[in-house]
Amino acid sequence: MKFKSILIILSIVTLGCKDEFLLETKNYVPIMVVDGLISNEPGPYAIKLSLTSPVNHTEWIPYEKCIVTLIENTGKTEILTEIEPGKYMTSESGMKGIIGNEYSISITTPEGKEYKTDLQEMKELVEIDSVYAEFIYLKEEGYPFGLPGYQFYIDTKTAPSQDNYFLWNMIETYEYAADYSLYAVMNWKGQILLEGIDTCSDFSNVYWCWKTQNIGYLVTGKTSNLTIPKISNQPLNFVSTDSRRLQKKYSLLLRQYSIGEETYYFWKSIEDQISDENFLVANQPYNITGNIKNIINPDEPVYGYFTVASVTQKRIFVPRPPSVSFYYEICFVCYDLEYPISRYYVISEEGRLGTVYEQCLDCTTRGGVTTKPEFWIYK
Amino acid sequence: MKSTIFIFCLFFFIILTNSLLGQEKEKNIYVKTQSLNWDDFSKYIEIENNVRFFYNRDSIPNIEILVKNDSALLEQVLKESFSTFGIKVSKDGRGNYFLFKDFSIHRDLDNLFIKDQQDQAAEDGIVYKADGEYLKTYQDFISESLVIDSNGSGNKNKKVLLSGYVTNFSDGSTIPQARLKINETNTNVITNLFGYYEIQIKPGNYTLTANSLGMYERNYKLTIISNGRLNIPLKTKSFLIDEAVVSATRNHNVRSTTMGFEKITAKAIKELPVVLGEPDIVKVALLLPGVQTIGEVSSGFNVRGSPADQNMFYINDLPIYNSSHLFGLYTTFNSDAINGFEFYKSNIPIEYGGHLSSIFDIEAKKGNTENFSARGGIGPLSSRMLVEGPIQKDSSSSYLISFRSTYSDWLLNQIDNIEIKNSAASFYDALMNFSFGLTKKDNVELFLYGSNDYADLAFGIRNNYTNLGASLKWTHVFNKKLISELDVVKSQYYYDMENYEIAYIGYKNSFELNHNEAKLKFNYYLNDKQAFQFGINAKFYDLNYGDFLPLNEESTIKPIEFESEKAISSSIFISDKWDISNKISIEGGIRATYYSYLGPKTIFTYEENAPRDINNITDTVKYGNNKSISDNINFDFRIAGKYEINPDFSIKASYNTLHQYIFMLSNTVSVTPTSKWKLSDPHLEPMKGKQYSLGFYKNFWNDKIETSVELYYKEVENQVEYKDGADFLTNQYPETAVIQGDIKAYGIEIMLRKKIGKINGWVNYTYSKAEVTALNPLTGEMNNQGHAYPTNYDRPHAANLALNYKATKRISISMNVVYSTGRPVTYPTSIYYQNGIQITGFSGRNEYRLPDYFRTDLSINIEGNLKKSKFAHSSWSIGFYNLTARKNPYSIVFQNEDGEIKGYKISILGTIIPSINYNLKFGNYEN
Repeated sequence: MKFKSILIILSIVTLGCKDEFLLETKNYVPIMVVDGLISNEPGPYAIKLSLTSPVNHTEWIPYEKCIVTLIENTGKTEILTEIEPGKYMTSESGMKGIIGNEYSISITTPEGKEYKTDLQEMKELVEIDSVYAEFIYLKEEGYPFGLPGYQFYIDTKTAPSQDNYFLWNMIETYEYAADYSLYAVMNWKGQILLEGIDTCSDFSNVYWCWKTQNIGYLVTGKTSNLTIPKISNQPLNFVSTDSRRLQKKYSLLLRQYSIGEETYYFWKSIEDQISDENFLVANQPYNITGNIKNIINPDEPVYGYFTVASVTQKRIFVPRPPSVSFYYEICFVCYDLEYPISRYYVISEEGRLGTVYEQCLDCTTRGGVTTKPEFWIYK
Repeated sequence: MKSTIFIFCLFFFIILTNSLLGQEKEKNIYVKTQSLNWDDFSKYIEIENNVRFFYNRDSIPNIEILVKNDSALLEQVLKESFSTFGIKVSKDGRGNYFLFKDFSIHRDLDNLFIKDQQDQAAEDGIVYKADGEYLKTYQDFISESLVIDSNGSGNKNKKVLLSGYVTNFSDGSTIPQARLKINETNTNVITNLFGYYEIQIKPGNYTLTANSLGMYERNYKLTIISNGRLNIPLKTKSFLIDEAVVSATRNHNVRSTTMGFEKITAKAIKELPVVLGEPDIVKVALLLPGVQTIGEVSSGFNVRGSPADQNMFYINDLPIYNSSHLFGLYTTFNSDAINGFEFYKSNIPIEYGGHLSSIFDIEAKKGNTENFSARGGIGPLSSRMLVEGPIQKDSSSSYLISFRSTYSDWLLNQIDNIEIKNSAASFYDALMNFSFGLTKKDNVELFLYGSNDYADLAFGIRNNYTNLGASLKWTHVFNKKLISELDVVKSQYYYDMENYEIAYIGYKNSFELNHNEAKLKFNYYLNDKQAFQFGINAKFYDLNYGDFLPLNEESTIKPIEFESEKAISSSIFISDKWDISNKISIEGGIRATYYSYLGPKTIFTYEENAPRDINNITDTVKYGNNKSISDNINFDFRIAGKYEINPDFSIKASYNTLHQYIFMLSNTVSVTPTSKWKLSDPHLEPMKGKQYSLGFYKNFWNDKIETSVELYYKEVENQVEYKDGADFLTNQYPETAVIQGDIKAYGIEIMLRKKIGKINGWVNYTYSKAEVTALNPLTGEMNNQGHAYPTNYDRPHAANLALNYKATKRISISMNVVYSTGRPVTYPTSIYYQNGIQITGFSGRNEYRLPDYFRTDLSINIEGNLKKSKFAHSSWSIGFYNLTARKNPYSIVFQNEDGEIKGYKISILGTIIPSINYNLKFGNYEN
């Protein structure tokens, strides 16, 4: 169970400690990975086929030139097109997922190996009642007054039937700024020019950025064990002031997948494994097998899952929390004007003139884009 | 390692010099003004002045010894005190004082003993006779010369019977399992449960050696003329002058048929280094060959390749299902209240059945039948208290009550972590032992035990687990050949947990295991060659899985009801121990067990040859209360033999089979106290174990050094393994969560031990392997793709060193060094993505290993000054755990940092941990 957490406590109580060590693994054997989803959302739908990559060298290794067929219980089938290496898509005018119908895929590799999944029903949709955030101070080591941030929660509406299984995927988007805006530039002659005069050094269009990413973990839930089929106060992610996420505005897109029971147990195992990785591995780690089976040799390990789900989503925004401390590091400013570290001059928060490296003026170096997403709204 | 060798050499040097200087000449002994009763006085004087008193306990009243002025001559004080009782005091000039009514010694005469009233003594069958050889040095043995003759004449060719009790000199209690040896005929006799022995022997002159665990050996020169009685009081190796770490009966390792056996005394436990100020029996066991653990915070341990649930702890016949406090940091047995333990890992005695791997038979202390006494100890995390005394003056009934509790909360509060600060953890354990000597032939012991742990962890989990139990033991002596013992036992293990991490699915759950047992056994001593044990044993198990319930109104969790489980196992057993000749002994036993799984219960039938899955249920049958659902009869065998090549060297072999009907279900790497137990049912076959062992035992230097080499091969069938990722908490179909597999284990254990001397201890090395295969070829269910994988506790190379050095009478230093191969772990070997999330693929189960484990502990015991405190004795123990501060990895975690998997070693107690403990004892206490 959650015994790992108890072990953490103990390990600290008993003067435990944590040191990095070099991970050395032998005999890496690539294994086929299937990552695909069909839903009630309008297609096209993608099935990605790849091979696992070694731990110390993470890369996308596409599994090319396979024949991927999407099958509906009505007898309809569609062969997907490989639009880029390893990514197989249905066509724009192709099959559409319909709630209540059943779907499966079959895969034939160039080597002639055949894989398939069983038919799975697309479950009825359960509506999201609300996604909301609570501002809290999380008790955490190193923050004597707690770490301020937003804890997100979801409530669903009461589902029409008793047994519902959910996978919640979270995609975050946040607006942030470069650490500094340019005040002045030194030109090749050694003259210091105010911003804008030297057009080669215009950073004004890379000052604001938006970054969108999957938060890297997932949450599952079910109502089959509840007296009323309604999820309430299910904690999602926690976003704190220890990063730039809450610098200006933060948005969470919650995608709720209503899935079948078997699919739920797959994703639940993934959830448990990910949360174990963050702690002490007390549970016996194992390879989570999905629903893709080699027709001839069902014991061949294949990772990943072909998920059939009905999807609904909700986006919420939270503003920068007022009057709280932020705990992320910002660029170093060199105040020694005789030995500037670059030709870029900024005025620091303390109101002093100094030089910074170029990347401190460019928000895209932190992975964001300067195009404002369409959904981005200001109040 | 270099420094270890250096210390070792240094110790030897100190010993040498000490023994060279150890020869003392006679001196007059003066004592200070004081008032103590004789028992205390004599002990105090013995310790302080290196003298020994010899007296017959029955004839010396426990009077007050008053010393009126300082520097009184000891001899004078004794004479004055005892003259009114007609007791003569004499001394031999070598530090030995004799106090006897009937005789005294005269040092300048050839005949040192002079009989005063030979006739009276002769009535007892004992005639004291002078003998010049009767004394050696203080450190060595004392040979007393006796004539055994009850009627003054005897037939020289007809065998006569020498019988009597071996008793504890200090409290008069009898000593079972004491060993007597007639050196001339090489006859060995062991006292029975009541300390009684009989030797059939032809009249003649013999030397008799008597010894027992933790006692000084005693030698007699006997002139046996006719039947006679000889009671042999043995002196305890008392706390201050004791030198042994482990003192199993001498020669036991070579001459008995027992293999894979250890007997460890409370003293030995205390003499080894401590963790956080508490001596601990399991920590001692872990220094023995063949005993492994997963890590510092794992409840339970592993013996010869078996999982932890195949061991059983018994304390005074009471089975204890959870033996650890604070998730494995401590054992639930307060070592103050323990006499010692016997540990069987190979030939499990026939009276025990139901656990495949080992039996940990702990004996609680009996209360002192003479005086009230109390003791206590204060350590950094816990304190302990023990009181004992006679129930009624001048009866052989006594009580002993001990209590231990923690105050670890304050420590949690010191730690600069909010989660920990807001957590709470505490434990206590208590035991009571009442002994009633009803008649000379009947003894009844009532034993009560309880332990509890509570933990509230700030992030949402509360745990509470408890052991409770009582045992009643009635021993009856029919005659000198037949002794019976009736045990009635009730033991309960209970836990409940509350999870309030997420309000809407907050839940509580509990678990209760009831073990009720009755055992009637007889020991029948046919003659000095053959002894039988036989009996019947019934166990009734009642497991209550508790309901899975919403924690409060906020929680909308649907309650899940779990059916309870019941089973009865009835056994009948018999064993025979037969010394065919002086060289050859054999032992054989058979235990037949009828096991029946009882209703009320709903049993599901699954499709044949298909994975057990709720989708494959074909039928559901409900059984009524106490209706037998499935039953079976199984036979356990024990065969052991010994061949003594010479008195110092023997070869032994054994084979045994066992069945186990109750298992622990756990999917965690280490054993946790919240794991649930499960009974064998129509779906889960009982586990079957068998073990072959072969051993060589050789003693050197007059048994001072014991060596042994033991080899074993062990198989466990129907081992219950959790299916990957299975859940048991809310699973009403537990059989769907497990696979039955096999364990194969083998190993070699080499042990070298020095039991006595100023420096003593042991060193051992074990090479072992243990592998599990979890595959059901019929249903296709398997773990690790059906391949064999090492157990979580498979540590091929393991070596332990335990040393104890008595620097002075008041200071002793002990040290242990532990090395083993790192335990196996499953590594992440690959990375893949699902729906935008990075996921780890793992290697084969336990394909990799943690770095090696190495640890050194040191502790120093300092006894307080006896002179200053008359009624209380204090001592300090200062301990250093993990002296080299090596960060031994307990486990490895893998973290995904910006798409890169990084490995971290987690070490627990990865630094030097000092501790200090203050112990205090009041009243008369031997150890």
